[in-house]
Amino acid sequence: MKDFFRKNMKNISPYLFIAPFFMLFIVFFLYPIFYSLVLSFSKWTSGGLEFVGIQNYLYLLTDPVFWKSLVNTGQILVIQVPIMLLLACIVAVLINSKHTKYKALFRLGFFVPVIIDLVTYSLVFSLMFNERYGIINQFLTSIGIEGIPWFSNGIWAKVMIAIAMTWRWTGYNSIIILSGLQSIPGTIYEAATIDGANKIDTFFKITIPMLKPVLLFCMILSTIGTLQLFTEPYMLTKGGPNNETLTAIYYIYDRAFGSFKFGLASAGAYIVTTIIGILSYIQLKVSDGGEI
Amino acid sequence: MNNKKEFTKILVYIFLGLGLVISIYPFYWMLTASTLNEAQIFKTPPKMIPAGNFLDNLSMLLDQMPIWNGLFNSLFVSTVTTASIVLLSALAGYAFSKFNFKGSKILFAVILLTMMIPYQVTIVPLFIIMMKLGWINSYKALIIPYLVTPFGVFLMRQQMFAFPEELIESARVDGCSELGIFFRIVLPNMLPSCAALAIITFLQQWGNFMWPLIVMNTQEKFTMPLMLSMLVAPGQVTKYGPIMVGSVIGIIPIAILFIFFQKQFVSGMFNGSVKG
Amino acid sequence: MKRYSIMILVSLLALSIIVSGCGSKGASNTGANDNDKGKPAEISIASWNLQADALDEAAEKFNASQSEVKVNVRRVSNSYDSIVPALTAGIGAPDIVAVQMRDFANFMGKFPDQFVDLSDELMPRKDEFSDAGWGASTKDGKIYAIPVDIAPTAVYYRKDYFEEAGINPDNLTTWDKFMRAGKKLQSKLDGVKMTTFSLTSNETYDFWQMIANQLGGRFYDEQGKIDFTNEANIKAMKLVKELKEKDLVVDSPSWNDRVRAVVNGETATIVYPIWWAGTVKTQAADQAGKWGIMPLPAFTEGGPNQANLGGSVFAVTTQSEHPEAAWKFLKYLLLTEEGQKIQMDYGLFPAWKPFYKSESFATVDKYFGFSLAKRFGELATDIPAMKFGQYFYDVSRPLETAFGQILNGNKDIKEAFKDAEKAASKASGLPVSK
Repeated sequence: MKDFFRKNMKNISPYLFIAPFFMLFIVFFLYPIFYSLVLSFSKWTSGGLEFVGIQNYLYLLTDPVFWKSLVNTGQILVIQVPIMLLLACIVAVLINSKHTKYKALFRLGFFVPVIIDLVTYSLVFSLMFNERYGIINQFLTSIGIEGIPWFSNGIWAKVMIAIAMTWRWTGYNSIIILSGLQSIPGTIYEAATIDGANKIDTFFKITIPMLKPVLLFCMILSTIGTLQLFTEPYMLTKGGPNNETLTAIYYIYDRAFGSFKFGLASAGAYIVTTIIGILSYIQLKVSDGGEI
Repeated sequence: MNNKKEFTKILVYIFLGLGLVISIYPFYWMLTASTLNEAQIFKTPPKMIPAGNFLDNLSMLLDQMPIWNGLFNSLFVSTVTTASIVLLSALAGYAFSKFNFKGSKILFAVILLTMMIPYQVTIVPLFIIMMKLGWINSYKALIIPYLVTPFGVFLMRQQMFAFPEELIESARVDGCSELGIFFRIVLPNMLPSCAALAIITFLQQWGNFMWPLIVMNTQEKFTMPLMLSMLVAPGQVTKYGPIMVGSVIGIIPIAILFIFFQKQFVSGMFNGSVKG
Repeated sequence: MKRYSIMILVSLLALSIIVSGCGSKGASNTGANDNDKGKPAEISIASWNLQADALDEAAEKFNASQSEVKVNVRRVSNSYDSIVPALTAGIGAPDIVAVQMRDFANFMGKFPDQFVDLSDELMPRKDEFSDAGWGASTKDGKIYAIPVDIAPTAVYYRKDYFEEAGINPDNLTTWDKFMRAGKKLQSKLDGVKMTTFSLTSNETYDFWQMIANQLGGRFYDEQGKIDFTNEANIKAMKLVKELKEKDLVVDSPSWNDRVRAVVNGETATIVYPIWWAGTVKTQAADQAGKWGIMPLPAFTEGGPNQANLGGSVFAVTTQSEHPEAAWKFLKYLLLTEEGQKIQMDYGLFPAWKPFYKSESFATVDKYFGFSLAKRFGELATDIPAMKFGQYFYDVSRPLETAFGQILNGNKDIKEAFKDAEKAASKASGLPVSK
């Protein structure tokens, strides 16, 4: 008996290892997800669930406001994620450089924005971007540029949200990239310098390719995070002006907790999930199937 | 040649320094605001120098919310869930990365998929489960649903790929049990990754306020972020000075955590997955 | 060494599960059943911020004064995040919930069997409450909630600014006169505009609603069909637009911006209900004695000048195991002078009219220098009721979009409202009127 276990332990043990995780996972993640999937095909009333097929999905796909929210989310995604990742790379490389002192200070300082609490975050950013009093517009007018309509103009509102997100997440991503950088053996750089490569060439031809797994990781996570964007619009602009900063998840939240249309909200969430899935898949394929 | 180098160096420091200032500015604002009294907070131009009202604001804050309870609740819940998530994710991540067992691909794909589903969607079903189990307004509701997260497994599996197979094999040959191999050989060497996951998880758990909002009913059981958000009430009197004091208090545990585990976090996030 | 740390982690985990098991009670909101002799029936009431603070005090007094009912106060957010799941699930709701007036019809529609019919108690007492308080508590002729507070609206004005500009508030009886006075004031006072509200965010809605309410505006016609393009609504929007075009408004997109405008003395007036007073007192403490209250200007001499923006109701949930106990508490809180005095202390203006005659109602407010309650009471006598209907959310969102298009996109008012009607119709499933 003991022998049986000893011989087969190697085959049985993975199942044992994942068991605790899966037991909890099934109850607290899979079951609610399954329930909400059912919900998305139903109309929810206080009496119970009424099966309505794809009615919810059709409603959403023909609702111009839902499309607008998807477009808004997409616009923010396309601008914010690449810029943030580039910035994070630059910061990481600079901090990593052997010329830079006070590494620990910079690491801490750049990381710190992720730990901010939401109340302070929304207060300070609303204040900074306030069209009349905010320091940003004050600074701009002092150097002769007209103040920017951060809240009253749709495009600038999106930019403001992108800036806020970048502030919050660049440091975090740069620390992750920094960690990847430190795994790159110094010998490669030495060889490159001997061959006569300059700093910029090194950056684009050696560093970035070597960081591919890290960058992919950050990119996928940032994409998922941005597609699920809710916090910044909710705190700063409440989706305005004119629904210009209404994101997909905000739309869904409104339906769920504002109009109590849970079936609709669930359907919306699954549409968003599908989009996230497709985009992540594309990102993986395009990067030549990085190991994920 | 030297001048150019010096010049670049200065540029780099200016760039990094500017970034640092921008990153820290809101925290400076938070600290300053916590020492001002109400009338000063909304004046323009805003007063950027700390004043002396911190203690007054603190006592006003305590009048409104049992902040120390909130701090304890947040610490307790975040610590327990983080510990569990790290341990269980490490176990599962190890299994997924080092064992090629039947169904592993599918199971992992499921985990990946669930990461993409927005959490708002599962809130109502989860709430119903809590109701049926009778866990509403208890720590169980805050902790147990979060004893595992898909992201944890995703990350640990990623990290574990780098662990050398040979060490595992030789341990097996030596007669070590599978569990023993995990606890005595693999895990001790993956501590930086665990630290990284711990920090990320702790952050997420600490800041999670939608869930406590829904399942907790009495003030004493609220978590810190929840207490603070309850104090902000457009349409009613909102005192920002005390709220900022709360924010300052709330940041301290996380800041301490990161300061101490900085090194591990940096080295642990992408342990050796960049091939030389 | 490292092995021990793992063991510690695991034991911590086990310990925490045990500990949290010990510390919690059940989820039930009642601690005793009626048969227990001597044990009070426990009920819970849920609300937020100031109302919750008032409830804490009222519950304490009520609990001390008798031993059959024990009231526990639950703190929730005013976006009902914790109430809605409970009502949805059919379990876990408190015995009494606070709901804003404009949301209650929505609640009644979505949760048709979750609220106790209070008609027996309240129908005979209907006239004791201000009309404005009945905007949402009734359905199919039955009463499902008791009006708690209303929010009569007035114009807060800076006495010192008016004096300096030579304006007499008693003369501002119409909006035309108000706008002319505004021009005069702005020419004499630098850096001050006549009034402030949001011109660029979704919050324009609040100002518009006060004016529309004043004129008897509505969202639905008599048959319950969607109607935004009625005369009152359009006239109200025209005023909003005119105020903007005449440059009489400091744009304050968010609540904090309005506070800032007041604190920094950039606005001579602000149109808001009584609940604004608390904020002014706290955040503009150094302006004590400088603020006065005057009625809303009318559109024609002697025309209607009262409006309401806000207000809430309490409803007893059918999930409650002690509805009679719940009603006992509500009676204490809202139908006695003692209870209403507590409400008033926290800035909640009672919908219950008998309280207006009490002494405490006439107390002079130190900050303002006169009795706020009395002044607002005079403006609470003829507030038109505004039906928010079952789908307020679906109705207000399209309107918010319309306002943006009108003010910032120069769309024609009627056209924008018509588009809003269509959007509201799609979202709510109700047909459009006409």
